[in-house]
Amino acid sequence: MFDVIPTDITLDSNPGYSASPFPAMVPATSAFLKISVLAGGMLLACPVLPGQDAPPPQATSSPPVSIPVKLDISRRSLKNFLTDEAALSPYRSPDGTIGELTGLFMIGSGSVPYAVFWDSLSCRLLGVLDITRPGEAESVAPLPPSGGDETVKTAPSPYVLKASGPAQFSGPTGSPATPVYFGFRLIDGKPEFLYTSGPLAVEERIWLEEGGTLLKQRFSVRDAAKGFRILLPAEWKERVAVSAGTWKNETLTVPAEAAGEVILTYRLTDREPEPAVSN
Amino acid sequence: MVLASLPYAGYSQTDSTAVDTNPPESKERPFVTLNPTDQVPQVRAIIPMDGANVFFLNHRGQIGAAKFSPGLSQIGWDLYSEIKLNALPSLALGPNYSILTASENELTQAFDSDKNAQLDFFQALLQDWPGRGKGVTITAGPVADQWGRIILALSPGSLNEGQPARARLVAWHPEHKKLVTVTESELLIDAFAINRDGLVASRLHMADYKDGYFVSLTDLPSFDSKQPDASPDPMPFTLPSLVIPAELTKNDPPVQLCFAHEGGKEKLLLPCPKSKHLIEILPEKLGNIWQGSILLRGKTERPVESIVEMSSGVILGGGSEGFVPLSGLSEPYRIMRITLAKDGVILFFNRSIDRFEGSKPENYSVKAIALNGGETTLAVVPVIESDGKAVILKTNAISAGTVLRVVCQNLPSEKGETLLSSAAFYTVHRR
Repeated sequence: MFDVIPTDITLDSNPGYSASPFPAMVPATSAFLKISVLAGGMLLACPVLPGQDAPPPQATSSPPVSIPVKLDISRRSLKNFLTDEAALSPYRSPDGTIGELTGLFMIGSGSVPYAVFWDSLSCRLLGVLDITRPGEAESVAPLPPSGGDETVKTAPSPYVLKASGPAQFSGPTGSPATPVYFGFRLIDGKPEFLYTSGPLAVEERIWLEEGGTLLKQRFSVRDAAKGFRILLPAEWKERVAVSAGTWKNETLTVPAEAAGEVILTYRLTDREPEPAVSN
Repeated sequence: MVLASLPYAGYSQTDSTAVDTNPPESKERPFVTLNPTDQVPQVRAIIPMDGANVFFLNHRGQIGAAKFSPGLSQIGWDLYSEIKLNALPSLALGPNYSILTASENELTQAFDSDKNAQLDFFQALLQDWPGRGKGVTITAGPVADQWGRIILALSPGSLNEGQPARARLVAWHPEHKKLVTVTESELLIDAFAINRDGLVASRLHMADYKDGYFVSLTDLPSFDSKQPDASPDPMPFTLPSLVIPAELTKNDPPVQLCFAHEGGKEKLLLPCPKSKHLIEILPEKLGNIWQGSILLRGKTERPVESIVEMSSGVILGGGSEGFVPLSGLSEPYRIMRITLAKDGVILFFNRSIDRFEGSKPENYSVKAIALNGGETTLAVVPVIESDGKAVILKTNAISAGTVLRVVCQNLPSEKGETLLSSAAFYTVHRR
């Protein structure tokens, strides 16, 4: 029972409310924090397993110094911009309508032309918007008069990344699980989302580097004795480099030894066009 | 630069609460450095820590801390969190200077886990409730009650097929898993406040009714810690108890509610930010029915969206142009209260009235507006009390189920001041 009369108290009482799906985690919020800090900063070697694709280019263990961008973090409701049926599935109501994104995090910075969206319902990175590009409605060019060459030029989507496919996270068997959002915390100004996916307790940190041209996504997973898998949309794979794990098609398999930290680095800018060959 | 200690008050916990698995914490108190600033916080909600410090929610959804002198002069403020939450305009205090906020879809508790006077951990305490999958959302709250529960208002929803859709006030207790409905309402609850005795005052949403704004007063059933998950039986039903006429607010809906104490009486204050009118309700209970006077308390210089009582009778407001002290100011000449008498009504004023004008019956108009439609004008005979601060208006019988509209057309004070509002109202449910 609580005494509701405000009193001038010292900071020696217990931490906050304990109702939580993480019985060991919540009363010990600080303990949870310490675990992740211990796990951080370590890049673990990842063997290539038989039958798997060759590992992708990986972030080196001593990456060049990169300056994180000071982030502006807000939560807001937004019209659902997803278009892929599987990605929309968690937002579909029983009557079939698609709900707004009401638990959305928007991460950006005044100096960066990108807005990063992460949602607490599906517990996934939903997309990255290039705010300098026209919106999707505007990007659809009007049809030219009929009779001519009807090559329609459409502007590129303003979304550099847009989620598609089922939930990104799965256990070692690849079986999907409905994620349950727990909360988020700030680590050096970077949001770290905490959620469970089946038996896995996931910490997912998002931030921007290199003037906002690189998006970083760090996963740290507890209770992953057999590792875990991350399924990315096919279009994202060409933009991403990972610090650990092996690819098979669009699925990154992370072994247990690397579960403490896997960093995905997304290039948000388009590649420079190849220089024209001249003799 | 002012170093303001934040004597952040929270609920102190007893030994029966969760086991602390953390290492012993420092007993040093955190400080927020309040730098001099000309910037004015845009305040949407306030929660006092004590008589001098508050947390507030600004228009961008950020939580700040502000310090005041005993006379409510603002000493300084700073952000306690830069995160922009999608929060409803209400804050509640948790243990260890944590702050509870709610969005339509989540009850969130924010902690300063590393004790650097910045919130850095935001836990989703509640994301599911009855009807959540059918579009039921949080419409108001969080508000803490005297039993340590967090009360939230949910939008109307039908829990079982065939049942009418009802809005609900639900209670969440940190030690108990089940969310308990504590009252039901046919109308959506826009805002609510709870006093120390468990009386809930709710602003009910009635979009089609333009002549006034409904407030309900409902006694919360006592919390039985031995049966924490038990729903009240019978379930209290929130009915519109009082009507704030739109003419008193200049058609501007009151946005929040606050219980305050002055002159030994408990009042309910409601700000109307656009018109800058401040409404005062003096609730009275007859049997199990609430009724009472509805008055214009003042017109503020700056808009007020949120009001808190810092300590008994010390009232602070806040709005888009910063904090606004609402007590200790010179009070305009006004009607302070209406009470029912056997043979009419009694008007109380805060200054002696002009006896010459006050004795003229034509300077008064009393109408009984039936709650179910129709109105009657009552003939009045004024009798001025000896101190000149009360007038008995003898009338014909006043029936229950009416709103009394009393207008004093030309009733200056003894010193010639004009009434702040010539109109005052009383909702009569029972005689």
